[in-house]
Amino acid sequence: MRAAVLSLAAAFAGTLLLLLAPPALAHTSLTGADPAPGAQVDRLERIRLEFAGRVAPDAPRAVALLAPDGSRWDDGAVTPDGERSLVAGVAPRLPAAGEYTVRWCLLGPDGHEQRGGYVFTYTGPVDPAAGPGAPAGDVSCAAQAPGDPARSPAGWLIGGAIAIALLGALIAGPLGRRLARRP
Amino acid sequence: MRTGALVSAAAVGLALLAGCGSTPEPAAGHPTGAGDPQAVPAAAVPGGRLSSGPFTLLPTAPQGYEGVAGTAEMARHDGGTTVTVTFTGLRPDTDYVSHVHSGQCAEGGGPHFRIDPAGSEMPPNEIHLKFRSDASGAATATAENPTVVGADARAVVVHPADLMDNRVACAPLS
Repeated sequence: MRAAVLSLAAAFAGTLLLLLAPPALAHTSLTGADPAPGAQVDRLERIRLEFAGRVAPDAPRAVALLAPDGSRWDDGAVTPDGERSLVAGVAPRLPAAGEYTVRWCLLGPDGHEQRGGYVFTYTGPVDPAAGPGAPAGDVSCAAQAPGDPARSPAGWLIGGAIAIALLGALIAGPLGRRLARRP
Repeated sequence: MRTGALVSAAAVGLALLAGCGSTPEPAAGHPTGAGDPQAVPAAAVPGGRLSSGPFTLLPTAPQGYEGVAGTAEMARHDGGTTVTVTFTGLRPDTDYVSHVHSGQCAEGGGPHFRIDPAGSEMPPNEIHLKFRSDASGAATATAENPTVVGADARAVVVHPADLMDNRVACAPLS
């Protein structure tokens, strides 16, 4: 009996620890980018996006770079750069100067998809023979599997877990002592 | 019997956790109807305590917005809060979104203002205005909220609806 009480207490403690694990990306937003929104640049080797929240290394994400004609010129690779940033590769040669568009999406562990986009102006070297660029298509994270909902970092969920753990302790504590005193 | 009670307590706890984990989050994006063309503008709300400021260009604006101008007005009144934005110099026939922010315009407006900081990113916990410019690049919109908002509703920012990271202009509410 005592073992059952102890294992129950351990289960509550374990659940609590799981829920209190550092939350990855709840409701994040773009806090910085290079090139910056609205900037004018003459070099473009990569796109770096910085977010308000932590980005899980395995978070479904997508970043597209669209040329003035709407064709796509990122190289398809999006990798984490530190805890809060993503870096997308850019094709080695760009077809035209002008207004380029970045579109991004990022899926949080709770299945909540964040999206954004911005334009900047590119004035650097061009190769009109580069390409052809890929069709833009839709930039979406939705097709990829969402993360584990049990790690949703919502404040009320953590609060609920604490309340449940306290309830468990209240039940298990006195019961455990009473059971332990039994011959 | 006591074991049975403990197992029941554990089952209740797990059921509660499961329910919490599966509660859906609201989808990203903006609802329709944030910004009512029939609403009384903030400056005309009877008994309203008015805060307002001029829109100024932000460095994150796309090129071509150098002529943007306008005003944000916020009225706190018995029925809640009314926010009105008025613009000239936007691109013609283009969809825009404005949000009330909690930061300073010198910092680009900071994050969205939320009535409950831990609550939803959707109205009515945030104040959103959706509108479309006319053929001359002018626009106005009004949004109403049932809560009288606090002093941390500091600024209004506007961006093109499809380029949410290109904050075009910011107006302080003072």
